[in-house]
Amino acid sequence: MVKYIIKRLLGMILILLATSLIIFTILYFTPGDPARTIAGATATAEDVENMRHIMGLDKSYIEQLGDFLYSTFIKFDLGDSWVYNKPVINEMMIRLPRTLFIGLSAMALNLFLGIVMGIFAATHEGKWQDSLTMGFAMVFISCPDFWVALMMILLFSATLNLLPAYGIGGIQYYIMPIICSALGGIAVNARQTRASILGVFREDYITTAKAKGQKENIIVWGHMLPNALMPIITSIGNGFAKIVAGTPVIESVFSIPGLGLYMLTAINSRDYPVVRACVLFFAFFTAISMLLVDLAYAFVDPRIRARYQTVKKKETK
Amino acid sequence: MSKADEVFLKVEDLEVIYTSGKKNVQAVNKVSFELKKGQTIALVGETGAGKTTIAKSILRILPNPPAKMLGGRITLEGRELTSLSEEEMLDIRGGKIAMIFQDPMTALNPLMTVGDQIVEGLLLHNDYDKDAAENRAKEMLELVGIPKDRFVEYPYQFSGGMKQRVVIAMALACNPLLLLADEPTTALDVTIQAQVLDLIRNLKEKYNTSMILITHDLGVVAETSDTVAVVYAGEIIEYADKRELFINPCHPYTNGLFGSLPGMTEGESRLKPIAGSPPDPTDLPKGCAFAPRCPYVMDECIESKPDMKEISPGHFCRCIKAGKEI
Repeated sequence: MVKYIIKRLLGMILILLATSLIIFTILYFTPGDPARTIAGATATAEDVENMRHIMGLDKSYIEQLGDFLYSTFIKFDLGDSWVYNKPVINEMMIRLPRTLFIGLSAMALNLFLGIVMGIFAATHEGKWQDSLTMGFAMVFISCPDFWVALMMILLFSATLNLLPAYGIGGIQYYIMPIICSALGGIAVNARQTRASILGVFREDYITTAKAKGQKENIIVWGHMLPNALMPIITSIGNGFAKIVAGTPVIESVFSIPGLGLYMLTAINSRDYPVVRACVLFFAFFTAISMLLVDLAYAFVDPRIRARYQTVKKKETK
Repeated sequence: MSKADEVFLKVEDLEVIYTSGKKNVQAVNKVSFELKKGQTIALVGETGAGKTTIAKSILRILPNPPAKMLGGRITLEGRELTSLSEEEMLDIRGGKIAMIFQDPMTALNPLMTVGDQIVEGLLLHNDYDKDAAENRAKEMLELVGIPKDRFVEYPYQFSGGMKQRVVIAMALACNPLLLLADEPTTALDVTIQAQVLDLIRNLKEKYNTSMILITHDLGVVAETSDTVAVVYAGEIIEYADKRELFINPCHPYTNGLFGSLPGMTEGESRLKPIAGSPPDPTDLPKGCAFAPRCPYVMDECIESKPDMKEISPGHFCRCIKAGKEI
């Protein structure tokens, strides 16, 4: 198992290298001159040329790429922001907790509400409770998150004056962003949970558990849910990566200075080191979530666990 | 009268339907039988005849919907199961009545160790703490011929025959009064079948458990049961002591079943299968359900359903010609 994890972590370095290459190339070939943007609208051609030299933009593609990869992967230095002239990593570390807080809270909400709603709907299959829950899920899925965000601001901030509409501060600033990020995921998880619980509903081992005299509740949570968990884990894993990568929208609606908004502003001001660092972080984060998903599979299912162990045995021979 | 002769389980006029869309499937139609303590009754019949449904309705574990019990009374030791609350049923299930399922490949939860699955039932029906339950579960595994250090293994690490042993250990762990064995050997190959049957029989004798054995294998019936009920299209069509039924089968369907067995002595080269197939359960014939396939069918058979007749003491048959010479 340890060997498997190490292997996956090594694989992750490849993923990050590939991501770096792609994002660097895309930014390199993006039309427009960052030096001109940074130097300002009033700069002369000479100033811009100077700027290009300072930023290293006058070097060839290969040289620039080499510099970037060298400083990122060997020196572990994400570089300085072109706009603010400060190390990118410092700013990211300040912003990261906000983004992660929103992402993780939304995820927890997703998991909890999604699974509870899914099980509720599945155990009332075909009755009005089922239709109602799935109706809600349908509405959640159909509403784009920025629209929900605007509507919530309209209702809770503008009309009822209950929650702050933008910015950061106490926990009350995060309530709406978290709910907005979670809604779509809750719906997806609820539908997924319902479908996979219904899939195991008529399995023989459920009848076996019933024949043992086990209580309905324990059968649902102890026998059905673990067996239904595989597809749910997959959808949760995707959702997790999506929530964090999807924060630019939510963060800009609520003006939360998180990673997403950082990247968005950086794209507008052509602050490429920032863009590259953020993209790399999102790639890293997605890769980690996928690894966690695979480990969760092994945790839930002994058959998958055994597969990893046999791989390990073969290698040690 | 000794206690052994008392009626232990009584099923009266059991009626179960499955609803699918607008159609109703009559799965079990007015089935009645009795079982004495320590005895075995075999329910014999074709696939889809309603045998498993009968067993599951005794435990009340039929999925509802689509299954629905329309009527009937099931009495275990004088207690009417059909009127018990769901909570009271939880004690009966697994504690007083246990079931061995047909397909060992799917009857075990793939994500739980076999040990935990046996322990689960033990903790529900006994005052054991976790250690005591584990010891008892290990004892049960040894009893069915599985080394006790396999307690921590998962179902996928067992072969089919071994899984069926686990299922049997699970069913017998709480010393049930009644064992419902739903084709316990069908999914197994012949050599394992004999072992599993021996195992069930020994354990049954050891604990004086009564058993309802569901099978379509007359060989298994001959070996294991005391009484036999032949089930056709949701009805019991013949009901007798095993010896009596084997010597003197009376219903044409029962005769047909024996005719489709390969004989060891007669030297016949061809089997005589029963022509046709069971009736559509959504649209059962008005008269005798077997009439469309019966070689001796008469107008009367098609018009009205024959009643159950006692043709000799303890031998019942649902056929107009029963008791007369065919």
